[in-house]
Amino acid sequence: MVKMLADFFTLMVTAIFVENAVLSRGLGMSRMIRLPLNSKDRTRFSVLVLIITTISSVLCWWIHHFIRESEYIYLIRPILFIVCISVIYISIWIICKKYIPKIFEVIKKDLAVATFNCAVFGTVLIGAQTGISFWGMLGFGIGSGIGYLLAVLLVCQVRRRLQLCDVPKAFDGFPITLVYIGLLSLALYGLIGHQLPM
Amino acid sequence: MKFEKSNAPYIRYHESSRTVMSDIIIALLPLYIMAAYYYGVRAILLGAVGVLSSVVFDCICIKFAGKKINPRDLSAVVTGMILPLMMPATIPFITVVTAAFVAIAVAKHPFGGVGNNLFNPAATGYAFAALCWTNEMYTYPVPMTHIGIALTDTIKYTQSPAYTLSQSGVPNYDFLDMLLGNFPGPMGATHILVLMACMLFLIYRKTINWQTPVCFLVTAAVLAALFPRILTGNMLQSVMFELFSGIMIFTSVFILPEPVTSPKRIVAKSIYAAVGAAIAMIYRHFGGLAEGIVFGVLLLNALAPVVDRMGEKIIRTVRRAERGKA
Amino acid sequence: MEKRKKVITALGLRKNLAVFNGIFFKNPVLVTGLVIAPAAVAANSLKAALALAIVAIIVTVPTVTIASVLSRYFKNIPEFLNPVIYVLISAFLLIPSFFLIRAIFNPSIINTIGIYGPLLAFNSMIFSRAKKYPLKKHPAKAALDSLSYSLGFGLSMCIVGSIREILGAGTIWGVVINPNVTFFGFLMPFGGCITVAFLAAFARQAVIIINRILRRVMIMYRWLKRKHNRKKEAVWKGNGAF
Repeated sequence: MVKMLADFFTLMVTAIFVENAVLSRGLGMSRMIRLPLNSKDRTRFSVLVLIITTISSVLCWWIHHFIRESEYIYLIRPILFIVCISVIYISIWIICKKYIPKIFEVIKKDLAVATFNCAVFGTVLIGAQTGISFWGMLGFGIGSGIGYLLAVLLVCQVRRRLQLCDVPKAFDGFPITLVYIGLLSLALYGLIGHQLPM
Repeated sequence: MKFEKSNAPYIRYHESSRTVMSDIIIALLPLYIMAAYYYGVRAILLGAVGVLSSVVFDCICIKFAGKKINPRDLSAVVTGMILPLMMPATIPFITVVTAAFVAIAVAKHPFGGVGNNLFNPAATGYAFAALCWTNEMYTYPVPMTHIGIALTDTIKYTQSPAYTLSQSGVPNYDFLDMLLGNFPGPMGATHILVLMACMLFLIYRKTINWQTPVCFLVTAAVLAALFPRILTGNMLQSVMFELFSGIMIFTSVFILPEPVTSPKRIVAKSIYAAVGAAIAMIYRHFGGLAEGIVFGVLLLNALAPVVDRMGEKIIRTVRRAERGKA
Repeated sequence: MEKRKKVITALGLRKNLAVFNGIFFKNPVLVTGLVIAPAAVAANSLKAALALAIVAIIVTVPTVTIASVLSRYFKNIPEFLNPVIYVLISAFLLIPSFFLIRAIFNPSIINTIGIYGPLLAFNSMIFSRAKKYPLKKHPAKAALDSLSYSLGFGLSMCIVGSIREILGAGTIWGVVINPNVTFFGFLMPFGGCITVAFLAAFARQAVIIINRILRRVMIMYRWLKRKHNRKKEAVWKGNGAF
């Protein structure tokens, strides 16, 4: 029991701060540069990513448990995970449309972009590659979603702050955000001390 | 109305950017003299290389951006002087040049140049150099060895007390040694007495406010006393070693109160310094490198707008409460 | 009767060649920023960059073509199923691409590119290009367009990969060229982000300058043509020397 909780919390904290999906591995960067600055839209999108990451990490761990010993695992694994994520997407769409129409109106636009996202798929792949236990995977999924939320908050803060700066025209827009994310990843390198495995 | 065209940074007090920067340069000179006393003439050479490369890169970047070069803007000189003081006296010259390049061309000019940088340039340059040359950065020569221009094989290298602390050991230097700077460490950050004098000078000239260094050091001392890393667990010893080894005090005087990256109100500045101390202690306890505080400063700079907004909210609630009472 | 010659103005040329925009003017990595993650983090060396580029070409081009064909001939598919179809097709196309790069490079390349190989199935290029080519356009044009985007991706990946490898490790394609001064920071995500950002600024400035030049050429061409027409009219009407 204690080991389960320890796994859960350790991996959750690791996924938020040290192995942040966006800041340390660069997943989902191109999406973040185009996000709206509006606080409500942004929170809605990140919460959706959090929910989908959690559900998909749980389901994909079960699938990975059964195919762990096969030889061509690196070929079958992506396809099965993608099928799993698509099933989650379709089921959320149909369930929300039939039973909870109020929420469906709200998430209709963002659901496709939030599900088929490099952050979601990357989390699942990293968790499967390192071979962690079930509770650890759950913690890693939740932590990854929270880390994505934090990164989105930081990047939107800086975009508002950058409007006050006199940025040269060539750097305006996505290069300067990329420089910012790079400097944040440098800051997080000090916590780790070595390069993360790919 | 007649508009006067002037160059960035636009400071509206009676002091100009020139006096602020020249105050900092005057405060840095004694550190270079002490470094030369302990480590020989190479310290001054490194400083000169740093200043020269910073100024050259700054001029090139300004030309690329299409602006006019401002010969009275000494911010590049200040960056060039701060950078070598955080490194040991035995690093190769290429490290200083690379750090200056990253500081000026990556952390300062893409964001718009002087007065617009979101991250402290000196901190970024040092962080990149520590990333590339990790071994050379964290092994220090024994003090009172006079190093010439070229590095010979007879120099003895040791680890700084920060490394010993990270292995939960007890460094064996006593109080007077640490005050006078007789222990291995970065070139300009070991002479605590001189550093304190520089800090008092800058506070007297109103270049930096006294709240930032004091809040930083007090919070760091409290955290070091509560969670000691030292094997004996003695609180006073822990406080002394944590504060004096490495770049803690240097950061609190020269890097943290930089006017562009720190928040604007006094309350926000105090909160900023306290949060900075907490991040620095987290980096020391859980970080992978022996001296990770500069990476923590980068994270702190990213959080500066949040702290600014928090300070504004606090001041507004206080003002509303006062108006409600009156 | 005089056959009307087809006039090629600068603007007309740009419009006809708009399908090749993806290589430079709308480069997915450097100019529009559609796919940044593999370039900034995974393109440590020229080999890895080339492997990722090959995977991207094999995954993107057939997917967009099939998507365009489907939207032309099967119009009854509900709209929310579109992303699912694209992603499933690209996932199946990952298998032949992995076999191909295992054959070209050595089998350990799969570990070098890590998770960024399968992540290319979730390309932003697929989603954005498949939306832009609805019923009216021909599938061949869709194929050409996605091919140019993938080629642009490959070109920029190779540039970024070779710069990072030369500065970071002093080798290129495994051959040591300059072992004296290497900056290890370029092999990490930070160096990759900075390289891509600076190259992107450089490419954007180049696009601005080229657009300016093309606009001036077009204005000058139109002015010259108008002057030539006026001269011809004056000669026909018998006005003599102009």
